[in-house]
Amino acid sequence: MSDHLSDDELARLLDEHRESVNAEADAAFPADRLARQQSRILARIEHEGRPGRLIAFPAGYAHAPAALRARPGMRWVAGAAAAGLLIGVVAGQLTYDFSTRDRTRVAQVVASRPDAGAPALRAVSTTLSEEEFLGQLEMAIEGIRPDSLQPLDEMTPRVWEIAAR
Amino acid sequence: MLAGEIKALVLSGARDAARERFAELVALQQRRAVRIAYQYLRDVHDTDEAVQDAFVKVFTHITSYREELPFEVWFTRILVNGCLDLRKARARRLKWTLPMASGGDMTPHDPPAPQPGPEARLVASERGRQIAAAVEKLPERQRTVFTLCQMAEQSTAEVSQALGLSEATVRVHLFRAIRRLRKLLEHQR
Repeated sequence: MSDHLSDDELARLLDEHRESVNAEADAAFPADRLARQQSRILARIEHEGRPGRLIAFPAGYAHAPAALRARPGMRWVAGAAAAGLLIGVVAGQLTYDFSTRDRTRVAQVVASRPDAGAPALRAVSTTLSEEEFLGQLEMAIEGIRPDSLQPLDEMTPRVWEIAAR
Repeated sequence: MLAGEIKALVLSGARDAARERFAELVALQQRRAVRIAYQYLRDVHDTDEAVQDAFVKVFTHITSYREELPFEVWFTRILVNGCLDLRKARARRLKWTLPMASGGDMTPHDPPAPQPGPEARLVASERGRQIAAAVEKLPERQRTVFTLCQMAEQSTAEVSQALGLSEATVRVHLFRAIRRLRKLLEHQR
């Protein structure tokens, strides 16, 4: 057999192949299978455009949304709580912003004062040292000390005494 | 004409009547659709899926059907696109499920053969297998044009409308596909 395929030969081969594949397709899809396919297509298009069915999960809670719908008062309460929360958050945010802005503004005014002859501002520490704070705390609770603990207290050294050594 | 009627029924809200008419349309086009899809997919289940999906898509998008175009052309376009998607999905599936040694061989598995005499069946199936393997080796666009023109017996004008290509481009793809097939088949002799 020659290696070269003539046009006629190729056309014949392809025609045979087409017939053969079509015969395979027809054998694979007899009339009853086509009928089943058609009914499946029609069943599928029947469901097109319909809203999906909501399946409750878990099944025991299927009626919970209905109970909520039946009590509109619950919705008002929930709405009011949410609104209160929102107002609180917004108010808190605004208050914080104002105090920050005020401090910044005062600092800017002090820094840009034009009279150079005025005495220079000194930084004054407004914070207590740790020892002083603890000492003041001890003094404050002195008054509510029970008498039974007095000997024990006298045996215990004071913080500032230790810090001074 | 039938597709135009269905479109009008859907637009007027008469969906039940549209579905009844659509059943007639399915019955008219189904055999041809199965043959085209089978030429592409060579698998019964994939063919079934592709044909069903194509008809469902047609009904879903019937309002976008332009009546100046023959229904067969529009439908073939939807069907062919679906078949190409399924082929890609199948190739991805095969890539991950076959062992590496046989991963490159993507020839479709043979469906049950028709039932002539054993000798004729052997010769025919061998020749058919060679042609199917050669068609598989064509680039996608050439294979699509070849399948529609040669296997689905559509004219180049119909194929150009179905694929959205110019008729000259379709002819070029068809010419190249046949030239390549000839070489591939001559190699196998």
